[in-house]
Amino acid sequence: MPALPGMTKILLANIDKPDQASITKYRERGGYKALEKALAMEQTALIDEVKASGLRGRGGAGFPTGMKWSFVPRNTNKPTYLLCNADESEPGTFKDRILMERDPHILIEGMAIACYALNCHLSYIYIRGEYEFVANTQQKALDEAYEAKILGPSVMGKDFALDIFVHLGQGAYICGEETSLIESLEGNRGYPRIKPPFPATHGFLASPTVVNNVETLAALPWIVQNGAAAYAAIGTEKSKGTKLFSVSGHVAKPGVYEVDLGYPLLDFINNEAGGVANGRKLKAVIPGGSSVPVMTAAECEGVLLDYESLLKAGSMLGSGGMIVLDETTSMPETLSVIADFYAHESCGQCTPCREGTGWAAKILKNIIAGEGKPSDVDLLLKIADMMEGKTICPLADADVMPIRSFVTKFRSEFEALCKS
Amino acid sequence: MPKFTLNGQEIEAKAGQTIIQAAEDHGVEIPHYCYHPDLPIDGNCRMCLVDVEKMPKLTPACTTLVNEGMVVRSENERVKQAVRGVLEFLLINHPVDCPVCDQAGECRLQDYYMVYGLHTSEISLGMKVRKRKVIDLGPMVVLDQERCVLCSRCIRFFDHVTETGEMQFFGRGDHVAIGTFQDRPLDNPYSGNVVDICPVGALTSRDFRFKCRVWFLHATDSICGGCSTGCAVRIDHRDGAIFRMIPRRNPEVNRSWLCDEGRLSFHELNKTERISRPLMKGRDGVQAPVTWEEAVRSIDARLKEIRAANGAGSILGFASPSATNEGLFLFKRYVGDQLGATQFDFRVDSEDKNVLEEEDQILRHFDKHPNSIGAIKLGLMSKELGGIDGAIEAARAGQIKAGVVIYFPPLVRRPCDEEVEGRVFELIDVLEYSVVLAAHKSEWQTAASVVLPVTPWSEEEGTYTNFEGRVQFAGKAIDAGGDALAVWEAFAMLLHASGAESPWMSAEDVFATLTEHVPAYREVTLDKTRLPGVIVG
Amino acid sequence: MPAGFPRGREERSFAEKAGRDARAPRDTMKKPAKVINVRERAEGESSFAKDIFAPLAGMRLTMNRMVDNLTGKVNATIRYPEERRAYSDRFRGAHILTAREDGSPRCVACYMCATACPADCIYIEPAEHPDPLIEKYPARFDIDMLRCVFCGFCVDACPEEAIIMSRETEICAYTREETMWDIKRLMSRPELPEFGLGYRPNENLVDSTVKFTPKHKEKRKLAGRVTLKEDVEMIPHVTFDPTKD
Repeated sequence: MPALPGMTKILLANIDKPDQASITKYRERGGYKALEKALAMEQTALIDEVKASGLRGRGGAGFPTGMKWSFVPRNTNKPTYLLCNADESEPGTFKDRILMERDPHILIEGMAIACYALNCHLSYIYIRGEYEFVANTQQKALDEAYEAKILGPSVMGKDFALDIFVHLGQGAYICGEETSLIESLEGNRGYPRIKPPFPATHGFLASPTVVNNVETLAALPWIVQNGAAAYAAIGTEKSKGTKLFSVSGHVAKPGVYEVDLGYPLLDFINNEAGGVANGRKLKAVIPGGSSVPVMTAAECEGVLLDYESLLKAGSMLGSGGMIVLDETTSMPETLSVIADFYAHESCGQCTPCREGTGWAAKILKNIIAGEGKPSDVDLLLKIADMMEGKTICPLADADVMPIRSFVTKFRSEFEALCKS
Repeated sequence: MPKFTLNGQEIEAKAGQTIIQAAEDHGVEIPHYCYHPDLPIDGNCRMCLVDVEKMPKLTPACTTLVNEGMVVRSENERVKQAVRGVLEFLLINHPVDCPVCDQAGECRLQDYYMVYGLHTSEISLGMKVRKRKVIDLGPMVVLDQERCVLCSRCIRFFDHVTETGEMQFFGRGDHVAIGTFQDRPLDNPYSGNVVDICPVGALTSRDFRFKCRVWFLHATDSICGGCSTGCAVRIDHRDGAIFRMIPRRNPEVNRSWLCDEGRLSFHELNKTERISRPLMKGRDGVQAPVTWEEAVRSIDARLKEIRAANGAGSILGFASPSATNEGLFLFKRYVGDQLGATQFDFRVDSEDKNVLEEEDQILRHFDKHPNSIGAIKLGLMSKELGGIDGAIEAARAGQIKAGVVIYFPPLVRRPCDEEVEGRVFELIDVLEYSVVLAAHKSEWQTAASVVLPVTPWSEEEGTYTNFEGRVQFAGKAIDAGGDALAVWEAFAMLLHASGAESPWMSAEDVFATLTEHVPAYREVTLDKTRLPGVIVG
Repeated sequence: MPAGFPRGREERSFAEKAGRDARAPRDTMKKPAKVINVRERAEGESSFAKDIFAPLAGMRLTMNRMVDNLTGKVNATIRYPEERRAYSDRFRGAHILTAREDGSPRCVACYMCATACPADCIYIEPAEHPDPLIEKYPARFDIDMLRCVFCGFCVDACPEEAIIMSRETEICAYTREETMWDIKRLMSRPELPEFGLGYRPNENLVDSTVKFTPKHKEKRKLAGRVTLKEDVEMIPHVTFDPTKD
């Protein structure tokens, strides 16, 4: 399908074609050429190129990738590690799996480029435990890459060794947090670490480490092949390039879409995603995974799908896991499901998150069962205030965003359930 | 040495210190659970959040290094609210166990609630998370998972101090529970320390369980009498009974730790009956109770007789390496200076010869007496005798006719102890005239000519010199029963009966005299022997 | 006036007074302040007639009282021990240790009462309870009733409503040993049902039982120093078997 205006196909260029997981097909349409080009460049020049492209982390934080790479010290005798964060667990997000399932070589090429730039010779793909079938596909692709001498002691014949391994998680959302991922990879309980020190200097096995999301790495081949300027030409001033959105909820055409950053939100929902299903009215949109504040239909007016615009509108781009809610949705029930998730996934290391997420989930269960007290609504907001900004990692903040936004913006629904 | 401002006051911190450490050094308490000065930093309890200017979020004081010019506030409204929030979170799933929990009265949750909380709980009892209670973790520790605040101090202790890694968290979220694998008992010689470091009543001492509420206890600073390491301890007692010993922090000797043997060593004092009155063998060879005055007069007269008949070399002074420096000093003065004896020793078993050998890398020594080095420095180790065996031989050979023996059995029992006491019996048996100063009754004492009741460790104040020559002050916790006197008092009386000067009114006086006369202790004052003690030459 | 405190006929609350005036309290408060010369007012209000009859009105109260006393309607003295005064619901008499449903003491040997006691008369020895949810129970619980000053601090301090007080005051004994009450005696004793329950401030907060069935006693309004005949109780013969009740 040719690209529509505003829907440049960089990452999803080939997922609809059959057999794309095989290396021969990947090479047929120009795969691994970017890697060849990268290997001929200077490592520092490659980092500058990525910086110039304006690529930002696509896992949810949106941190400029080139800048993250430049934090890694170059003159150290410790090995550098690149870890691919494929622990996609943010509710509403299913964009990384599509890449790994249908086009695994784009990730391998992207990782190889990144490893070369960072002078990293050992890399891991940390895939969430529930994605075992995805991991199998990815491993098959890796095996093909090794056979084709793209990975191994001499990448594409050059004097650069690279090994990539797949590591399966065991079903913890918290291991998507970069220090927690590193801990899990080291064989410890997935507890996030105190920062500083940062992974760039003390990460995996106390060595410099970069953790990048699948989507971020998958964008690298196109950037190297077509140049940073071409990538920077897409998108807005501060949000360059394209973003994958995994749309679910009450839409007619749910699925994974690739959108130029800056595309209007409502246009995307109503046109590309087919509009609200069954002819109902839009009530609310969670634009970037459950960790971002919900937006009412009114708030979505005029909002563009990029980092800045969504932030200004009171929400965030996040991971791009868009959930569309129509007028039949009970917001307290939705919030209860979301709060249950965070309570279940809290690692339990620090007090506010461990106790606060559990307590909020219990209160919400009571509310939707009709046993809530009127004071419970304010109690939820109080719990949110007590949790925010006081924890080791942002999981507590990720629980605070939905609680606060749901309760404030749809307060009447909560109060109605707490009448008795 | 970075300077920074804490609550408006300028403070100089040591290099590499975190905010909480610098604050502690200057008497500012920042509330905390997971931080411990002798354990690696974890930063998970979030109680020590402070407001550092230019940092957008509150930052934990235990993980933030002090930088020059930092402005820190730990008592403003923002911090107080945050602390109260964390406290409220800790209390929502905490069981209402205060009436049955041993930690009541010394519980960090209670203490911080009274200062920072005083709020009403907003969670109903039915919503609290339930976990397992009263789990047996071995002879020293009882675990209650519900009370745990998940500070991970115990985990870090077993990971980094004993390196046995016995405790770990299980589960995720608010169902995380602390425990050992399959509830296996803790099996290392330092397991009792986790009871001290647990800030709440999750890990409690099995030995102390339910014995006494802590607010009824009086505390005395002392030194453990279990071995020659000389760990600083605090004896908690009430109405003349010791209930427990917990370590005091001495960064130079035991940091914050105490071994299990030492912790339970006070029980030894109550295992056998005490001698309550001086006993003297009459003409019929049977020991009968006498007064102290009678006893000391008789002892002095008899020893002088023996000296006149056989020479001063026939008198043996056999000290105990468990007696205080003050006691040993006056012992030497009486038996040595006053009577002129030259044969002294204190070694009762072969392990004393390894006075400096460590039993493990953490705290313990093989020498189960607290004052061996003290005895050596006072000149009580004879090269010719070579220990009790030599003394027994010399006595059998007739070279030694009389002996003044101080004997305290070690507070930490070993398998060889019976054999050792057997040798003491032999010595007493062989001597023609023997004066035994002891605290506990024993069968072999019937062989002694005179038995004088003296006070053991914790019933007299005094100083002990540990394996590295560090002299430390141990306070008096409980009163002796019966007619028992301190060792130094007994010899003061003997000196007086002997016609020598005996001006001392207290152990302090004796120590002052000791420092004048013993070259190694010159320059030492009693103040210097308080924590952390001072190493003598 | 604290609630429940006896009121005489003249003592009415401010609200009642204001209501009787059929005006909103706010209006009564809006009276303008004025300066009064009390001597002038007294001279203005008094008259010869008033001087004669006012003392008589006061004497009427005295006369009525005298008549009541003579007819026996009101009596300052009662014939104790056949007649006993009724004590209030909050009377602090001899202690009771309450029980759980299965009959074991509710007390968990927390030592709050022993610590709070100003007379230092409670001695407790704790023991391990097999149920981990209860954990602790008193192997011994002794109160020295001669040292006790019946202040009720132990009841105030108890977090479990394990110790309450009854209206029992007749605790004399022939020997000193009998005045040391152990846990059995504190939980149930023959005299208890007659006297009834007294000081138990946490009754509505905790579900505890006593090991006997107290005779039902209605709440009574007391007449203060004066004992009305209907408030005097006659104590009939009592037989109470602790094992059966």
